[in-house]
Amino acid sequence: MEAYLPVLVLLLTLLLGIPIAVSLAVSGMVGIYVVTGDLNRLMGILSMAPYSSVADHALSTIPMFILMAYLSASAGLAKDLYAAASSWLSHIRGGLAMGTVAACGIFGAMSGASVAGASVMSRIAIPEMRRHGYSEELAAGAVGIGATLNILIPPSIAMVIYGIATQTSIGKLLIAGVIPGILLGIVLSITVYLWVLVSPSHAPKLARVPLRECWASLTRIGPSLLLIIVVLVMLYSGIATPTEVGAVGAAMAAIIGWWTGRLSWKDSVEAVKMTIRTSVMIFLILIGATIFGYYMALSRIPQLVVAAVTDMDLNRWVVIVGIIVVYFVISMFMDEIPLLLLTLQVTFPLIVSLGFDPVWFGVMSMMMMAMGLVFPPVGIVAFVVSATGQVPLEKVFKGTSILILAIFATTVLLMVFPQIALWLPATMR
Amino acid sequence: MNKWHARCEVLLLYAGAVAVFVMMCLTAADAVARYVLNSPITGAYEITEKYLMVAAVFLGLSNGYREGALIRVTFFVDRVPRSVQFFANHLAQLVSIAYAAVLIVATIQQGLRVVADHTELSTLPLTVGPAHFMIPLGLAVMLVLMVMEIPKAGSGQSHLFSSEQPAA
Repeated sequence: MEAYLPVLVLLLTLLLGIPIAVSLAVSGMVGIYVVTGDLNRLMGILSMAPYSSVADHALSTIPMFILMAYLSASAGLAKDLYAAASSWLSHIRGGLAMGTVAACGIFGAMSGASVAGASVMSRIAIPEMRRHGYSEELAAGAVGIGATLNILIPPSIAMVIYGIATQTSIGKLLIAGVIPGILLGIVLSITVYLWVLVSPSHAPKLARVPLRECWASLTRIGPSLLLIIVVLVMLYSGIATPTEVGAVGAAMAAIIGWWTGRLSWKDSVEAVKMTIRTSVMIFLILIGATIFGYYMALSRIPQLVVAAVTDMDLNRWVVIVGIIVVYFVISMFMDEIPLLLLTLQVTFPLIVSLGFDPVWFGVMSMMMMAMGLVFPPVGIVAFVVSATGQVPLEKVFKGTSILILAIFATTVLLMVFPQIALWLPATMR
Repeated sequence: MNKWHARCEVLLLYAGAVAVFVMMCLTAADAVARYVLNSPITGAYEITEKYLMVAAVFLGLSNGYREGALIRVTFFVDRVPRSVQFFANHLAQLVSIAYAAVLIVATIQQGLRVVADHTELSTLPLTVGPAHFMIPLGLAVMLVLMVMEIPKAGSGQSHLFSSEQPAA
């Protein structure tokens, strides 16, 4: 009863379309009452949960990274990045798609939001690829999968939430995503190349852009590269907390935008408003997850799950593969943030008890979510690409379903060679 | 009523926007002051944590709700008959209203406790009470909009069902 009723309420309310934040809170409230039988205690928890879920300095990383993402997007930095990447790669067959992946990756280092990345890059890259005769499947697939690099490459908002939910070092988590992110970008470019090698009609061969133009495009992305270097150096060296990195990054994005004359006052205000709206979404779920977390702690469900799995005496790799499959399936129906906050309460103690590295599991979780973001039936990034790029949804899913092989391949590499994710954080002070 | 609500919502949204902007400037300035001048800004950490974060999130609640911040899993409800959808939509609206109402009561109680305790920041003589009251204030403005939209819930035209705006 203690375990089943709240979980049943959670599933039922989610299925009935009740907001995720409310579903988590209501099932948590039911659970707390079932476990304690004390209405005053429940009200005590409810009175503290909203404030304690928000008034935490570490959590201010979230609005700062979101603000940095919106300001970078509004300042048009992505357009320069795409122009530079595509001019260097356009002569290779499929080069514009590879350039899109590169631009998505570099833009990801200024924006921790896949959806923001997908929205911005769809507007810029898809019309260009369409104009040069690229198929809509390849164009949309490259943008969709490329945008998922944003949740791996720092600053990643999902990684920050993972760190907060599991009390893992946010700095180390963010840095851990760098090499897997670059690796995914390379594997993705190889997958694009192989795709157009097998089916050349998807990407016609284009003329080489003059070298002078290529170098000129690099000078235009100077400010963006400066912003990325400052963010990465600050994170890696530990001279500033992730929150401070976010604030300095946001301020730099705004200054670059104003300096180049591409960020108006109206755009800046809109970016701040969007930051509030997105923060509201995240923190409402966080409050719900906090209430649900109280129930989990009182009911000791995570400990019971760990004990049950330990009793089964399974190989730990069987357990991790099982968790990865579950994450992948749930991520097809749910956004990454509620998914993380919902599942980590059970999976994280299990992972730690099996001796896996929390930082490595953080990167693996991001890989699973990256898949879910572009995979049918929900795949929120695919919807964004379809809407902003004016590409039919089935074509987007066709493209992402082929290029998702790159994420699979990178995930396998990360499982076989965990050091890909763990080496860089291990060198941090 | 609509007009007054819209004015309150915009006012709170801009107050939240100011909080975000101040948070960015204060945190960046504090980082620079600490690492370059070896002299952090007194109270910056606590003001960000206890005031600005709360203002940024809770004062924007109503606008966030209007813009689809209460995200849902719609895979199932999108595929059921209209009559079931009508029921599910009403249920979602009413359960969300009840949750917001309970939170308002609980957070007002907490706010009163904090005011009675005269809890202050540890670095500055600034009481934390007003920060606690931003929570029921933001929730109340959102609740009013939710209640006004009950008649629209069945047809799915309430902002609870507006297109989602995910983050990452």
